[in-house]
Amino acid sequence: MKESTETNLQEIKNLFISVKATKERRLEKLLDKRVNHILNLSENWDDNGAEKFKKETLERVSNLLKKILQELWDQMVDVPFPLISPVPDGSVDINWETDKFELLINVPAKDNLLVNLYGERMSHPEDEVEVRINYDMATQYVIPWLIKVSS
Amino acid sequence: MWSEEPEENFLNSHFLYRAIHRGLWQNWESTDRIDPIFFYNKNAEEGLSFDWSKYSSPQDTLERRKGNSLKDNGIIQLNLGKLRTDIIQFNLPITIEHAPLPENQSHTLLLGITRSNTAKIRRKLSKIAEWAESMRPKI
Repeated sequence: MKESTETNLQEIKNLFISVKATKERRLEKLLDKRVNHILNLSENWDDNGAEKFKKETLERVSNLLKKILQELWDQMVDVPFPLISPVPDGSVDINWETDKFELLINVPAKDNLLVNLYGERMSHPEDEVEVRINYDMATQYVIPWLIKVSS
Repeated sequence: MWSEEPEENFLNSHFLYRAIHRGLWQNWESTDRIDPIFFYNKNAEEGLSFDWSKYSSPQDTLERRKGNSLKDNGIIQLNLGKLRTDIIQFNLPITIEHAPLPENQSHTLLLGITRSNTAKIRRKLSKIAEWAESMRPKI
Protein backbone atom coordinates (compact mmCIF):
# COMPACT_ATOMS: atom_id res chain seq x y z
CA MET A 1 0.00 0.00 0.00
CA LYS A 2 2.73 2.42 1.07
CA GLU A 3 4.77 1.46 -1.97
CA SER A 4 1.78 2.08 -4.25
CA THR A 5 1.19 5.55 -2.76
CA GLU A 6 4.85 6.45 -3.21
CA THR A 7 4.73 5.26 -6.82
CA ASN A 8 1.65 7.40 -7.48
CA LEU A 9 3.28 10.45 -5.91
CA GLN A 10 6.37 9.92 -8.04
CA GLU A 11 4.22 9.63 -11.15
CA ILE A 12 2.43 12.89 -10.30
CA LYS A 13 5.75 14.57 -9.67
CA ASN A 14 7.11 13.33 -12.99
CA LEU A 15 4.00 14.53 -14.78
CA PHE A 16 4.33 17.96 -13.16
CA ILE A 17 7.99 18.19 -14.21
CA SER A 18 7.13 17.11 -17.73
CA VAL A 19 4.29 19.65 -18.09
CA LYS A 20 6.51 22.43 -16.76
CA ALA A 21 9.31 21.46 -19.16
CA THR A 22 6.86 21.60 -22.08
CA LYS A 23 5.69 25.06 -21.03
CA GLU A 24 9.28 26.24 -20.65
CA ARG A 25 10.11 25.04 -24.17
CA ARG A 26 7.06 26.85 -25.55
CA LEU A 27 8.05 30.01 -23.70
CA GLU A 28 11.60 29.86 -25.08
CA LYS A 29 10.19 29.44 -28.58
CA LEU A 30 7.81 32.36 -28.16
CA LEU A 31 10.52 34.58 -26.72
CA ASP A 32 12.96 33.70 -29.50
CA LYS A 33 10.40 34.60 -32.13
CA ARG A 34 9.28 37.88 -30.56
CA VAL A 35 12.73 39.02 -29.44
CA ASN A 36 14.20 38.41 -32.89
CA HIS A 37 11.35 40.24 -34.56
CA ILE A 38 11.71 43.25 -32.27
CA LEU A 39 15.50 43.35 -32.49
CA ASN A 40 15.31 43.28 -36.28
CA LEU A 41 13.12 46.38 -36.46
CA SER A 42 15.14 49.15 -38.04
CA GLU A 43 15.23 52.73 -36.87
CA ASN A 44 12.02 54.66 -37.73
CA TRP A 45 10.07 51.40 -37.99
CA ASP A 46 6.81 53.27 -37.27
CA ASP A 47 7.59 55.97 -39.87
CA ASN A 48 7.41 58.42 -36.98
CA GLY A 49 10.93 58.41 -35.56
CA ALA A 50 10.77 55.15 -33.58
CA GLU A 51 14.00 54.01 -32.01
CA LYS A 52 15.89 50.80 -32.72
CA PHE A 53 15.66 48.34 -29.84
CA LYS A 54 18.56 47.48 -27.60
CA LYS A 55 19.47 43.90 -26.92
CA GLU A 56 19.63 44.68 -23.18
CA THR A 57 15.98 45.83 -23.15
CA LEU A 58 14.85 42.56 -24.68
CA GLU A 59 17.00 40.58 -22.25
CA ARG A 60 15.30 42.36 -19.36
CA VAL A 61 11.89 41.58 -20.87
CA SER A 62 12.77 37.90 -21.34
CA ASN A 63 14.21 37.51 -17.86
CA LEU A 64 11.27 39.24 -16.22
CA LEU A 65 8.72 37.12 -18.05
CA LYS A 66 10.60 33.88 -17.36
CA LYS A 67 10.81 34.66 -13.65
CA ILE A 68 7.11 35.49 -13.47
CA LEU A 69 5.87 32.45 -15.38
CA GLN A 70 8.23 29.92 -13.82
CA GLU A 71 7.21 31.02 -10.35
CA LEU A 72 3.54 30.81 -11.29
CA TRP A 73 4.02 27.33 -12.78
CA ASP A 74 5.84 26.20 -9.64
CA GLN A 75 2.79 27.29 -7.69
CA MET A 76 0.47 25.49 -10.12
CA VAL A 77 -1.01 28.77 -11.37
CA ASP A 78 -1.74 28.72 -15.06
CA VAL A 79 -1.82 31.98 -17.02
CA PRO A 80 -1.59 32.24 -20.79
CA PHE A 81 1.46 33.60 -22.53
CA PRO A 82 1.23 37.38 -22.86
CA LEU A 83 1.71 39.48 -25.97
CA ILE A 84 5.17 41.00 -26.24
CA SER A 85 5.00 44.20 -28.25
CA PRO A 86 7.51 46.85 -29.32
CA VAL A 87 6.64 50.41 -28.30
CA PRO A 88 7.97 53.20 -30.53
CA ASP A 89 9.94 54.86 -27.72
CA GLY A 90 12.22 51.80 -27.47
CA SER A 91 10.37 50.25 -24.51
CA VAL A 92 8.55 46.90 -24.66
CA ASP A 93 5.05 45.95 -23.49
CA ILE A 94 4.22 42.63 -21.83
CA ASN A 95 0.48 42.50 -22.20
CA TRP A 96 -2.08 40.03 -20.82
CA GLU A 97 -5.69 40.37 -21.91
CA THR A 98 -7.75 37.50 -20.50
CA ASP A 99 -11.35 36.97 -19.38
CA LYS A 100 -10.29 37.29 -15.75
CA PHE A 101 -7.74 40.07 -15.81
CA GLU A 102 -5.69 42.47 -17.89
CA LEU A 103 -2.15 43.45 -17.08
CA LEU A 104 0.14 45.75 -19.03
CA ILE A 105 3.80 45.86 -18.01
CA ASN A 106 5.96 48.40 -19.81
CA VAL A 107 9.69 47.70 -19.59
CA PRO A 108 11.63 50.88 -20.41
CA ALA A 109 14.61 51.12 -22.74
CA LYS A 110 16.82 52.67 -20.08
CA ASP A 111 17.58 50.63 -16.98
CA ASN A 112 17.48 53.71 -14.73
CA LEU A 113 13.79 54.22 -15.55
CA LEU A 114 11.01 52.50 -13.66
CA VAL A 115 8.86 49.67 -14.95
CA ASN A 116 5.31 50.93 -15.36
CA LEU A 117 2.45 48.52 -14.84
CA TYR A 118 -1.31 48.71 -14.85
CA GLY A 119 -3.67 45.85 -14.07
CA GLU A 120 -7.37 45.27 -13.68
CA ARG A 121 -9.32 42.25 -12.50
CA MET A 122 -12.70 41.91 -14.20
CA SER A 123 -15.60 42.82 -11.91
CA HIS A 124 -13.20 43.52 -9.04
CA PRO A 125 -12.32 47.23 -9.16
CA GLU A 126 -10.69 46.90 -5.74
CA ASP A 127 -7.91 44.85 -7.37
CA GLU A 128 -6.89 47.61 -9.80
CA VAL A 129 -3.14 48.28 -9.68
CA GLU A 130 -1.08 51.11 -11.11
CA VAL A 131 2.56 50.96 -10.08
CA ARG A 132 5.92 52.36 -11.09
CA ILE A 133 8.56 50.10 -9.74
CA ASN A 134 12.24 49.30 -9.97
CA TYR A 135 12.90 46.48 -12.45
CA ASP A 136 14.47 44.27 -9.77
CA MET A 137 11.37 44.59 -7.57
CA ALA A 138 8.80 44.01 -10.29
CA THR A 139 8.40 40.25 -9.84
CA GLN A 140 7.76 40.67 -6.12
CA TYR A 141 4.76 42.79 -7.00
CA VAL A 142 3.49 41.10 -10.16
CA ILE A 143 3.57 37.45 -9.05
CA PRO A 144 1.32 37.81 -5.98
CA TRP A 145 -1.08 39.98 -7.97
CA LEU A 146 -1.29 37.41 -10.78
CA ILE A 147 -1.83 34.59 -8.30
CA LYS A 148 -4.67 36.55 -6.73
CA VAL A 149 -6.45 37.49 -9.94
CA SER A 150 -6.00 34.07 -11.57
CA SER A 151 -7.81 32.24 -8.78
CA MET B 1 -2.63 80.33 -40.70
CA TRP B 2 -5.51 78.66 -38.82
CA SER B 3 -6.51 79.91 -35.41
CA GLU B 4 -6.58 77.53 -32.45
CA GLU B 5 -10.01 76.65 -31.15
CA PRO B 6 -10.89 76.18 -27.46
CA GLU B 7 -11.54 72.73 -26.00
CA GLU B 8 -15.29 73.42 -25.70
CA ASN B 9 -15.50 73.38 -29.51
CA PHE B 10 -14.65 69.67 -29.38
CA LEU B 11 -18.14 68.20 -29.11
CA ASN B 12 -18.84 64.82 -27.55
CA SER B 13 -20.12 63.59 -30.90
CA HIS B 14 -16.80 64.41 -32.59
CA PHE B 15 -13.92 62.03 -33.19
CA LEU B 16 -10.14 62.14 -33.16
CA TYR B 17 -8.39 60.15 -35.89
CA ARG B 18 -4.90 58.73 -35.79
CA ALA B 19 -2.91 56.84 -38.41
CA ILE B 20 -1.39 53.57 -37.24
CA HIS B 21 1.64 52.53 -39.27
CA ARG B 22 2.12 48.94 -40.40
CA GLY B 23 5.23 48.64 -38.24
CA LEU B 24 2.83 48.36 -35.32
CA TRP B 25 0.62 45.57 -36.69
CA GLN B 26 2.42 43.96 -39.64
CA ASN B 27 3.07 40.60 -37.96
CA TRP B 28 -0.37 40.18 -36.49
CA GLU B 29 -2.65 37.32 -37.54
CA SER B 30 -5.60 39.72 -37.58
CA THR B 31 -6.25 43.38 -36.79
CA ASP B 32 -9.21 42.74 -34.48
CA ARG B 33 -7.37 44.31 -31.57
CA ILE B 34 -6.64 47.93 -30.75
CA ASP B 35 -3.33 47.64 -28.94
CA PRO B 36 -1.96 50.00 -26.26
CA ILE B 37 1.18 50.41 -28.39
CA PHE B 38 -0.88 52.59 -30.74
CA PHE B 39 -0.87 55.38 -28.16
CA TYR B 40 2.77 56.16 -27.57
CA ASN B 41 5.68 57.37 -29.62
CA LYS B 42 8.96 59.12 -29.18
CA ASN B 43 7.28 62.52 -28.87
CA ALA B 44 4.17 61.50 -26.93
CA GLU B 45 5.10 63.56 -23.89
CA GLU B 46 4.92 66.71 -26.05
CA GLY B 47 1.49 65.60 -27.21
CA LEU B 48 0.10 62.67 -29.17
CA SER B 49 -1.07 63.76 -32.62
CA PHE B 50 -4.61 63.24 -33.89
CA ASP B 51 -6.85 64.80 -36.52
CA TRP B 52 -10.13 66.38 -35.43
CA SER B 53 -13.27 65.23 -37.24
CA LYS B 54 -14.49 68.83 -37.51
CA TYR B 55 -11.90 69.42 -40.22
CA SER B 56 -10.83 65.96 -41.28
CA SER B 57 -12.24 62.63 -42.37
CA PRO B 58 -10.50 59.30 -41.78
CA GLN B 59 -9.68 59.30 -45.48
CA ASP B 60 -7.99 62.73 -45.15
CA THR B 61 -5.91 61.37 -42.27
CA LEU B 62 -4.86 58.40 -44.38
CA GLU B 63 -4.01 60.59 -47.36
CA ARG B 64 -1.77 62.83 -45.29
CA ARG B 65 0.48 59.88 -44.56
CA LYS B 66 3.48 59.11 -46.74
CA GLY B 67 2.20 55.57 -47.12
CA ASN B 68 -1.37 56.54 -47.90
CA SER B 69 -2.89 53.11 -48.44
CA LEU B 70 -4.39 50.62 -46.00
CA LYS B 71 -1.41 48.37 -46.66
CA ASP B 72 0.78 50.94 -44.90
CA ASN B 73 -1.54 52.60 -42.39
CA GLY B 74 -4.87 51.97 -40.67
CA ILE B 75 -6.90 54.77 -39.10
CA ILE B 76 -8.31 54.52 -35.60
CA GLN B 77 -10.89 56.82 -34.08
CA LEU B 78 -11.56 58.02 -30.54
CA ASN B 79 -14.98 59.36 -29.72
CA LEU B 80 -14.66 62.50 -27.62
CA GLY B 81 -17.69 61.70 -25.46
CA LYS B 82 -16.19 58.33 -24.50
CA LEU B 83 -12.81 59.95 -23.95
CA ARG B 84 -14.29 62.57 -21.60
CA THR B 85 -16.22 59.90 -19.70
CA ASP B 86 -12.97 57.97 -19.17
CA ILE B 87 -11.07 61.10 -18.16
CA ILE B 88 -13.60 61.69 -15.37
CA GLN B 89 -14.23 58.05 -14.37
CA PHE B 90 -10.58 57.01 -14.24
CA ASN B 91 -9.11 60.37 -13.31
CA LEU B 92 -6.90 60.51 -16.40
CA PRO B 93 -4.68 63.62 -16.59
CA ILE B 94 -5.43 64.17 -20.27
CA THR B 95 -6.28 67.41 -22.03
CA ILE B 96 -7.23 68.05 -25.64
CA GLU B 97 -5.51 70.90 -27.48
CA HIS B 98 -6.25 72.10 -30.97
CA ALA B 99 -2.82 72.63 -32.57
CA PRO B 100 -3.41 73.38 -36.27
CA LEU B 101 -0.51 73.12 -38.66
CA PRO B 102 -0.22 75.21 -41.85
CA GLU B 103 -1.02 72.12 -43.92
CA ASN B 104 -3.50 70.55 -41.48
CA GLN B 105 -6.22 72.56 -39.73
CA SER B 106 -7.48 69.47 -37.91
CA HIS B 107 -4.23 68.70 -36.09
CA THR B 108 -4.92 68.14 -32.39
CA LEU B 109 -2.80 66.99 -29.47
CA LEU B 110 -3.67 64.77 -26.53
CA LEU B 111 -1.54 66.12 -23.70
CA GLY B 112 -0.68 64.48 -20.41
CA ILE B 113 0.69 61.07 -21.44
CA THR B 114 4.03 60.56 -19.71
CA ARG B 115 6.37 57.68 -18.96
CA SER B 116 5.02 57.52 -15.44
CA ASN B 117 1.38 57.01 -16.43
CA THR B 118 1.83 55.34 -19.80
CA ALA B 119 0.47 51.89 -18.93
CA LYS B 120 -2.88 53.00 -17.49
CA ILE B 121 -3.63 55.69 -20.08
CA ARG B 122 -2.64 53.55 -23.06
CA ARG B 123 -4.74 50.67 -21.73
CA LYS B 124 -7.78 52.92 -21.29
CA LEU B 125 -7.41 54.55 -24.70
CA SER B 126 -7.11 51.15 -26.35
CA LYS B 127 -10.46 50.15 -24.84
CA ILE B 128 -12.43 53.06 -26.29
CA ALA B 129 -10.70 53.39 -29.66
CA GLU B 130 -11.80 51.50 -32.76
CA TRP B 131 -10.85 51.30 -36.40
CA ALA B 132 -12.64 54.00 -38.36
CA GLU B 133 -15.15 52.63 -40.83
CA SER B 134 -13.43 51.02 -43.84
CA MET B 135 -10.07 52.06 -42.39
CA ARG B 136 -8.92 48.79 -40.89
CA PRO B 137 -5.50 47.98 -42.35
CA LYS B 138 -5.09 45.17 -44.84
CA ILE B 139 -2.73 42.44 -43.69
